Amino acid sequence: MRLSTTQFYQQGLTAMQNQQSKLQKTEHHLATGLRIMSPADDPSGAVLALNLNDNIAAIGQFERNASVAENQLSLEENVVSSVTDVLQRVRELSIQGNNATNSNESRRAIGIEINERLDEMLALANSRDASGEYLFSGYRVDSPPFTQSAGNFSYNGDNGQRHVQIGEGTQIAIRDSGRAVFQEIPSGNGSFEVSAGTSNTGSGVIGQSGLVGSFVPDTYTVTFGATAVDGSVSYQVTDSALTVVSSGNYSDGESIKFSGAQITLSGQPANGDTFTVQPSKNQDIFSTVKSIADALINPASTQADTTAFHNTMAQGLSNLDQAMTHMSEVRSGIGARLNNIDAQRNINADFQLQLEKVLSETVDLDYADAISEFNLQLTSLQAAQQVYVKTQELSLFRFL
Amino acid sequence: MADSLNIGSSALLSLQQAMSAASHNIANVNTEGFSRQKVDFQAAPTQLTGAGYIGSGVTVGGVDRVYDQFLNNQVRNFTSSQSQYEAFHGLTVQVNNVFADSENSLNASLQNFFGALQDVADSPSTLPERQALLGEAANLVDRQQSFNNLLEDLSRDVNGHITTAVTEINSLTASIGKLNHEIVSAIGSSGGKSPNDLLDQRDVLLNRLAEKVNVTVTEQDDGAVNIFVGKGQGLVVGSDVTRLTTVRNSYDTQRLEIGIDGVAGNANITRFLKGGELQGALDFREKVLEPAQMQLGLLSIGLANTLNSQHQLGMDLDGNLGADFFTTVTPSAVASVNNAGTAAPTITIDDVSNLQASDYKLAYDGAQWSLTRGNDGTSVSGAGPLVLDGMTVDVGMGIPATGDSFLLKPAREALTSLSLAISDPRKIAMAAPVIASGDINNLGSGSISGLSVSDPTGLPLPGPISLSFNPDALGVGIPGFDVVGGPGGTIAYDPATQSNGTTFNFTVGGISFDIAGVPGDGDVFVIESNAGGVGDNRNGLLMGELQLKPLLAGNESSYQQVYSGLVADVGIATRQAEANLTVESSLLQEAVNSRESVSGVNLDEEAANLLKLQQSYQAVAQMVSISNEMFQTLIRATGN
Repeated sequence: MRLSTTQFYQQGLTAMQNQQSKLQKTEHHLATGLRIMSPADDPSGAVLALNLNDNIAAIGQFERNASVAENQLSLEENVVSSVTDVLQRVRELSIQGNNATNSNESRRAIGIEINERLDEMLALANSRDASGEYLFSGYRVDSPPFTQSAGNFSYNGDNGQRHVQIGEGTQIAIRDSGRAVFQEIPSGNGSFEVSAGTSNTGSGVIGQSGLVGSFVPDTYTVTFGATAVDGSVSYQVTDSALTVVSSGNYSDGESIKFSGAQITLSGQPANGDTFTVQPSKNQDIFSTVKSIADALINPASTQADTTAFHNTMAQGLSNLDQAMTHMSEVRSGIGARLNNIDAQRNINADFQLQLEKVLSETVDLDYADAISEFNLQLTSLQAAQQVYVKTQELSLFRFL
Repeated sequence: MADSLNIGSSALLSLQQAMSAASHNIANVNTEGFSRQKVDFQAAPTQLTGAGYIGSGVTVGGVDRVYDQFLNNQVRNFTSSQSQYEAFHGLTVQVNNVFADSENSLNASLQNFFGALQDVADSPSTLPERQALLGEAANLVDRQQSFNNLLEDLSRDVNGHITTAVTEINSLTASIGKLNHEIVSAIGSSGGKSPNDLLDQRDVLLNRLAEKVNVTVTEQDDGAVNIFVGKGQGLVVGSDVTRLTTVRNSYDTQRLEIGIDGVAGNANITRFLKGGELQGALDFREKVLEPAQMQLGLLSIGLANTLNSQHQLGMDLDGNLGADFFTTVTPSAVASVNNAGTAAPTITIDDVSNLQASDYKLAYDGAQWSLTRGNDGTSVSGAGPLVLDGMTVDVGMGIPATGDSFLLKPAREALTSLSLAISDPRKIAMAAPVIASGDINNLGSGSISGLSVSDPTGLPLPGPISLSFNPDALGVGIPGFDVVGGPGGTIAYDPATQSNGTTFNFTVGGISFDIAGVPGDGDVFVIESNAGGVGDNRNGLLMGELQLKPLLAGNESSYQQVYSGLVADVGIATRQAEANLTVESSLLQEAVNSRESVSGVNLDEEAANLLKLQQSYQAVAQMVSISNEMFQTLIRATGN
């Protein structure tokens, strides 16, 4: 084929330029360490990289949320654990104070100490976190959840519970409302509570109570009658419609069973003494403690006073036990959530590692490949340059 | 003897001309478009003698350029397509570079925004986190705007390309017109001899013209060429030249197009043009730039609308319902400058999730309206209002004239107008506007949960809605709840059959909730305003969930997927442009090689020619000298 001289030059030049541009591209890849420098290098890889980066960032956010959740729950756990300690102390004091050998003065001293523990507990329930939010106000985090006025405790929060996102589709509650922690505690034994009539004159004191079968919720009244010669006392149990559901004779320390409930009394009820059995209702922890303290502080002057004191204490102690059970439930709930967070963090970490691996495989340069390609291109460029120089020497005019 | 001398001198003259031609070739070895020239030796007319016909030497019949019309046309055509892809590629690469940096991607900004939203959700009552969220939202808007600005710059680049190309085309056609005139007169005055160098010059100009736009060239008998573009619009006819102009799009004055001078003003010939830089720039605008703007715009309008809707269902730190988070602009219908009627259609976006990344064209044909999606031609028609892609176009205003048309660019308009609507961190609505609870003294196991709202109307609730369980709420033995406040009345709920949970809905606020379990008689559940619930993050979590939901493009793509899709489209377009450019470049190279191999100057060949001519010249000189000696011999013989 006939060639023109310009074309001859041009071809050599184009060959060199092509090699140079390839070399420059490889050089750029090597310098950045990236296989994909712009979407055009590998459109699907570039999109994959974008998505992977999004996912990795999302996991990073989940991790931050999880650590917030851990902090919050640990804080709550600390408070609940302190409250449990206080309750334990209150219980010891109550048992001590309930002892019949105490004088009015020593009971009063114990009552005053319990009142101090009550203040401590109230302060704990009004704890705040690092950013100044009240822990137990539900959503109303800027008002203190519990306030006391004229011996009554009121809850100013709501029953809101904050959740955070710790994984895709996984939310975890990082708070409990004050209502759920301190107020929703069933009174009595959890199914029903027993109280003594206020005008009882006998020495009947409430003991243990429990379930035999399933309790039929209603308000029952146990009314005692005359004492028989053998010392036993007749009684009858009526429901709210005044229907007699059970009747019999009672001796000191025996139990009375009706409608799925079993109550035990001690002492000798007088004729006309009553005890009321009604379904458990929510009793807040502060009122429970307060009623114990009040009972201890009030001096008992008569036998009836003493019996009433022991009955109030028996009721209070059973409420206290409920409160302690409830606190340990709250704590185990928090513990379970902390475990959940831990598990989710492990999942997140594994997932992140995997994503980062794929990301690296997608965008990072295979140096071995790139360097061998670089060397090949370098050789090609050198060859093109040498060929150019050699061929340009050829001209017939040199021989004229 | 005299004959030999005559023959000798004719040969010497012819050879000198051939030497000139060879020298001319060598001199023009670097001249663009030069076709090598060749002297056409012809034997001089023979003379009849008694012995027969005897030759009388050599003459130069003409100087021809070695030239192949077919190869030249091929070069011109390939030049057009190569220039087209080169311009397209050059512009597309710029968009590609805009989206190259994955760390500054819009997705990273979206991720930061939603991350900040979750930080607020972690601690909704504290202001620093809220302030940080507003900061990230502003960053997101800035990033969106900077992408928009880069794309706008490219759009102006395209206009620049078009203006320059049109100017160059006009200057080239003017020169070609002049050359036509010179060539015609050169041929006429020389009795038909071809003015080789003028022809070469004209070919060069034609090639340059082909770089700008593909032209059809037809050669006339008188040597002139006529040039046509598009569908036979004449640019050069003989020495008459028609100018191209830039004209403005009838809907968008910022969008330059190409027109041609005509009797009745400028006719827009944009859609007829093929090839060359012009086509490259036009293609880029239509196939890469505007779709990118539409995709980004879809993301803008989608993000603004969906986030706003959820934000409006929340409650801020002051107990007010959320307002707009991002500003949204009601899309407009841009009337064509040619409209004769007074119709002023209005557009409402009903469901942004169905909107497509496209422009829409609204037209009135005298009988009915039609609304057509730009990217695939899907259309609806009727008397109006027209509904397409989650958009309602109301055409009731004004009176349309037949042929009136409007352009709707809901996505692209949103791209340029996205901005942040709130600046007070307290106004971020993280809380849900309602809260539900069972009374503390409830005795049964009934519970209320799953509370949600879907309509800001009627919110915040003016007073609590209480539901008290009544075994005879709907008549003796038909249990349910007596509702006080809100809708009032009663709702049926039978714990015997529904204790696994039943969902109830109230019209007010679109409140929905579940009740499960067995409530005791008189147990009360209350749904009330959450004013004061500053620690609530429920609406924040719902806003956060939007990040991964397929909310856009027909509920198929999440925000980030819209952006990824755009990056993929740009990447693929760039890759294809690269591949096309490589192919077209090598085709052009081959065509140039073929032409060069016929017409190009080869110095070795010229050197060999020079040697040959030199030898011929020496031979002729010898021959003249021999003739001379023979003549002298004869004179000496007769002189003695």
